Amino acid sequence: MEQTNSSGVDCRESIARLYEFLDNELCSTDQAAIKRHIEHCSPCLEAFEFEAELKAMIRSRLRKEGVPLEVKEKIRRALAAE
Amino acid sequence: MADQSKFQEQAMEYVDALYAAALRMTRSHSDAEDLLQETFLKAYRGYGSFQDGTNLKAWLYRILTNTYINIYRAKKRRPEESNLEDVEDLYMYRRLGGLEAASYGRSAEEEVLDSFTDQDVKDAIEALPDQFRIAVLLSDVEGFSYKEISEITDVPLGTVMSRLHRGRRALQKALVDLGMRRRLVTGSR
Repeated sequence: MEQTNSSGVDCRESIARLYEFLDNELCSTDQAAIKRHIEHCSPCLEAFEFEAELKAMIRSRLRKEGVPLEVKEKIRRALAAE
Repeated sequence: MADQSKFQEQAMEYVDALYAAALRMTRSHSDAEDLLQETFLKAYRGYGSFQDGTNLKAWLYRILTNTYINIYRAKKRRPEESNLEDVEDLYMYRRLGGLEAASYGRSAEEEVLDSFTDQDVKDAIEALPDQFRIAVLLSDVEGFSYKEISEITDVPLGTVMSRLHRGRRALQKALVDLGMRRRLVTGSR
């Protein structure tokens, strides 16, 4: 079910550049071309949404630990001793 | 030229994020504490050469990453290459029903993602080889751009992209394997 739109981006290219798109690493022209493709191609849109959710899930699971207070204090003391 | 007296106030803002990254790198609380302290001391000593107005966060991560590699690489036994021959793009998505058959549906996909605990994801990322783990952490968790990651880790942009690509595929494979063991994912396509 290969779909190409006027910008010439097909499913294969969209999926190949999916992470560059999600990471905001594409130039605005390419970003817009892929956005147009996924807006008109529901299989690609679903894949993009899934990968975006996966990326957000990984981020949220790994961000929670704050540094223990005593470690923060140890660093402050070490810096003060410099 | 940065003023050393401002160092604490400015650098301590990133202490929690740096600690979380140190934990994922070293996989141990005591090593992470040592790595964090060493990073702050090195940064403090080098702060005079830091250019005010440039990216302090990236600069601190660069010191953290270099310190980790220098101290811990010698201890490392893991091979840098993992076997990802059979792991294609959209690996997890395709195994949840994915493009061909919507047998699971949206809500079931979300259910599988929700089922992974903090510890599951930590274990999966900590099992990745160093280069992949660091690239994925810096991108997905810390939100650095490819260019920043290239500067932090001292490798060309193309290498960053390749490490990220491989790291993410390996992470997906680890999570799918876990899902299969829990019978949340069938593994069929």
